[in-house]
Amino acid sequence: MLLGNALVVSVGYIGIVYLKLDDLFLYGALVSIALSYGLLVAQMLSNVVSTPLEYLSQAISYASNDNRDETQPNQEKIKIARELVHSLSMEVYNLAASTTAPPVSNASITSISPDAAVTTPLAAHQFIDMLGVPIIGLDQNQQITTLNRAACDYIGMTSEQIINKPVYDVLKLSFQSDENLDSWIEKSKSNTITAVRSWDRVRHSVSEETTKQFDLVARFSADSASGTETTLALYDRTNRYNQDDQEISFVALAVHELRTPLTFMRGYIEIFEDELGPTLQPEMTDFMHKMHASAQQLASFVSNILNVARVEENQLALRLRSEDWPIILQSAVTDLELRASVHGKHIELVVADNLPPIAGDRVSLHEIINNLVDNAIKYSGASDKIIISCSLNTEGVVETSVQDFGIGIPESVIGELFQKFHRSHKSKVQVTGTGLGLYLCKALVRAHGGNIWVRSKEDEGSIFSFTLLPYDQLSAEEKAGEDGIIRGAHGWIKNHSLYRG
Amino acid sequence: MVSSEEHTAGLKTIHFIGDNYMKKILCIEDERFISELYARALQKAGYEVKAVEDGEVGLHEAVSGQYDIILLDIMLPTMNGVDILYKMKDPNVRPTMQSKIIITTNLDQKEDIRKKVEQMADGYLIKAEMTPKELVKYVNQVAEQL
Repeated sequence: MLLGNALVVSVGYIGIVYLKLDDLFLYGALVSIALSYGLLVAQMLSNVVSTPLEYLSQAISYASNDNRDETQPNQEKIKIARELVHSLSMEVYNLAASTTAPPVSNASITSISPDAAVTTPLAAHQFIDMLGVPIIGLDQNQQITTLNRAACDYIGMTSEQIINKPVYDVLKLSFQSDENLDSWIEKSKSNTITAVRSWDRVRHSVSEETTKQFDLVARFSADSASGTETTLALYDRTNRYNQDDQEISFVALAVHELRTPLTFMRGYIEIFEDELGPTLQPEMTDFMHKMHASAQQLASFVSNILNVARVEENQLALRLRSEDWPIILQSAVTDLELRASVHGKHIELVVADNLPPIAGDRVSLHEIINNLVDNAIKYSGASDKIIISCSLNTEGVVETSVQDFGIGIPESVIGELFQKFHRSHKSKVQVTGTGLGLYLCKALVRAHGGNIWVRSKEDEGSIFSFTLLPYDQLSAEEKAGEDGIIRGAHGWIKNHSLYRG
Repeated sequence: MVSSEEHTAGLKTIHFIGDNYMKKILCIEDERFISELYARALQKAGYEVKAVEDGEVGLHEAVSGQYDIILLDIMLPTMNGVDILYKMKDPNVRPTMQSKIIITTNLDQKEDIRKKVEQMADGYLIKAEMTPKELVKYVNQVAEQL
């Protein structure tokens, strides 16, 4: 624009100057300037129009064909392009739907299958059907009202098998972010008329063995004439993301290198304790215990790094099985007793005797307790007591609390406590730590279908509590898997009878 | 009990000769400190242990020897543990191989790879989360299935 204005002003001044000269020379000069200017403007306009179209074309070609020969579009630009493709497709579809059938009746439910495309006079349906991108429409109840041929192929079912089914019965989705499709739709319903949202690396578990990965763009429209409230476009990235997943990440390599010396340390410490322990003086025994506890603490830290990376990459998969919670709890406490005792703390375990078997992933449950007790040790100040209590609450779920009597948490920071790397000003000054433990606890508890929260008062201490579901509360369908129930960190791999949002 | 040791390139063998049959364990592990720790603990528990530091040498030893249990690391020189596992499970490589295979690694595998490896192997351990004594306890449980 600035260049254009400058040219216009220049042409104006040149015109005024040349008016005083010979007419022929004047006209010749003006024509050549106008031609140059015209060419320049045409080129600028061409760039403005063609660049987005180029992104669109590149995005469609790359996304629909999964063609490895196609240059991979810039990720930032492709995000814009795929949303444009999606919006454009939906506008065309909505236009078609609103002029072909009355909305919100069973009769209006339309399958954009090849057959349906033949029966409708409008080319718009054919246009959607010809798109290589799977497109799915949902009604207010998140039931599938429409889908194109690419979506049928992608899901591996016919449109008759899919239409009218709840989307979560057809697609077993897990998301990398806290906000998943369901919560986004609910939020959009409450505060907006139209909204668009995209997610990267969404997983669809086709079977125990097969998972598809795609980027998802969703468009919500509260007053859609077609009766389709939300439309989804799925951009398959299975090959690329699987390739990424198989490469050893930097975190995995770093963890491997940290774990190797840790293995030596734990091995040699064990030998020293077993073979030299009886001959050591009390002070040396104390040093040995501190060394042992430090190695344990380092092992926990390494596990935390790894788990946080898994959560971030949507790679955390827990196997929930029927477990005896008091036994796991006792075993976790036994592992932690040495660490507590070298810091002068004592762990008291109080377990109700009416607890049902819980649905849990043994390793993750150890990690939750490990992190909460580790925090209690760090923040309990001069107090030497940590109480772990466990009971069946009034809602029929198993509630476990870890209580310390230490420095407590200021009310102003409690809301941010479970965020990654969060550390209060006070804790930064007084206690060492990374701010990963509670973030991880939240992810692990949520993956179990539970909740986690804290009650605290400064200088009196804190009580961290979390819930776990009794195994009996899981549906028979979920229990049927030989391999336990697989859960991701952000929301569950959806089986909607159990979905808690 | 009499013991002898021999060293060759990438191969360390520790033989124990006792009155009773001792179960034989092959430890394919490139970190010598770790294989020494494991060999020490397992020998004390009554096993005969051979330690190999190289992937290809380890595979050759696994399919040509008669081992009851094989401890197999993943990150190894010349051939990684997952490839070795596939070869050992390939009936064309050695149809009669009956050894129990326990993966011992510090590498965090992606979930799908880990699941496949777990299904093919008889055990899967993270070395940093297990002391030598705990390893012996685990190996004893696997040995009971032989």
